[in-house]
Amino acid sequence: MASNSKNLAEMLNTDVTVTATDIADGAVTTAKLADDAVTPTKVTDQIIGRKNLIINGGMQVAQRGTSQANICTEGNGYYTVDRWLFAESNPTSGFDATMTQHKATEGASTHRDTGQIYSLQIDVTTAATTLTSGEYVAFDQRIEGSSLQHLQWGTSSGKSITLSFWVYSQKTGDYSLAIKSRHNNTAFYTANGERRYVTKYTINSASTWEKKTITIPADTVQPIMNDLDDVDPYLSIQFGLCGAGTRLADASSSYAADTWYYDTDNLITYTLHPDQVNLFDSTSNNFFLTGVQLEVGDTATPFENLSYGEVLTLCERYYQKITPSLSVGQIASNNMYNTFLLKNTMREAPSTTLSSGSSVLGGGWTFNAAQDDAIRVIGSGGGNANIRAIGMVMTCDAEL
Amino acid sequence: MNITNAQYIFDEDIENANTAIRATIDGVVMYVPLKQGNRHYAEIMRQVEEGNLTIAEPDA
Repeated sequence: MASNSKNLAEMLNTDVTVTATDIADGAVTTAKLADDAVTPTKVTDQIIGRKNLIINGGMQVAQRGTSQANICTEGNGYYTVDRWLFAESNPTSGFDATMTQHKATEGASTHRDTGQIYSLQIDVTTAATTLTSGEYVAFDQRIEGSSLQHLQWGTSSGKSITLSFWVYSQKTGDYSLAIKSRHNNTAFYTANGERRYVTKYTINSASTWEKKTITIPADTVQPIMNDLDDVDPYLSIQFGLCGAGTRLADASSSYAADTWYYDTDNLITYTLHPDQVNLFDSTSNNFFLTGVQLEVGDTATPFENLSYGEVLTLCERYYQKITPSLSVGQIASNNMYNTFLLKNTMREAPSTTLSSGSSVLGGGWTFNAAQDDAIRVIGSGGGNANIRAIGMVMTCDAEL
Repeated sequence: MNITNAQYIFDEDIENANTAIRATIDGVVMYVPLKQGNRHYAEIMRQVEEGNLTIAEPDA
């Protein structure tokens, strides 16, 4: 409550300043705050909860390995850092690159300007100064549609999203960012195509970490599908590295940049901004990316730092690598079954690879069946024998 | 995806049915569950529908 002297001062109109002591404890209630009056800048990001829709945006988890050479020759696939898909069009111009989970050198400040130790690196190893029409290279993260229903896209209440990230390259200029809302209902897809929004950002200074922020308006026309009405729909956040010809959004058609459109051309065109530079024009070029965060709304907030264990757990919904050892005595010639429980329930029953391991006795173990939470193996050793394999390597892939 | 050598895997004891497809995908032998939500299975079925891939019957 205001003091008597304060009241007197106010009566005399000599003090119009309200200070904290003028307000009684508990006087400012939630009801007194205007809607949306408390913005993210007024609260610490620690209390907001999980806000980053991207998994492994800090690039710290790389279960498949830390480096993969010749990715353009290898083709589309998940290499090195988890959840980041390398995508290309089988380019014929001869360029190639190595994809690496880059770790900042101890004591070197440059790569730590981002607040992250790790980044995703594309190192051009074979250059091509001229691209063939139809070529493109990009990498993207696919987010499950079921995780994005709160965006309310497809309605007038649709919420915008904001992407922020740190980027570094010797090659300055404009780079493409594409948002793709993918559904897999064949009939619908054939009739309407994929929803896309293509925009760009600019790397202004060579060999300098720059933080970029891009806000994407809600798609108020097409909902993001979920698992109840489609087979594994997803939203793709795609970073372009090069592209030419029909791969570029076309302002002279309905496939213009900076607007949502249906791509009815079966995914093969209009995936990059027309101003996209060619990262692959020199073997001196690298592209680094880290601190990627996608959040609801039109404001970028500080990067959500999670522990390695938390990010690993999130990644294991899509990929796991385990190393079981198994030795069983066989009775007669009955098939021997064993089940390995996965570390976490995966998005879907995974595709599995299984190495034979070492110190193999009998016929060893082979794959039998997969569920989203377990892998069953079968062994047969010819009867009354040990079936054994030590250190088998099993990979389970349920990526989108 | 480059997919070759596709063959069903049959489980005779527990499910008495095909449980997966063994295939070489981009040079790697993989066991792919018969789930439409699995991207490898979806691609296998797409190539089969286009007539570019045949899945062999399981070993007897």
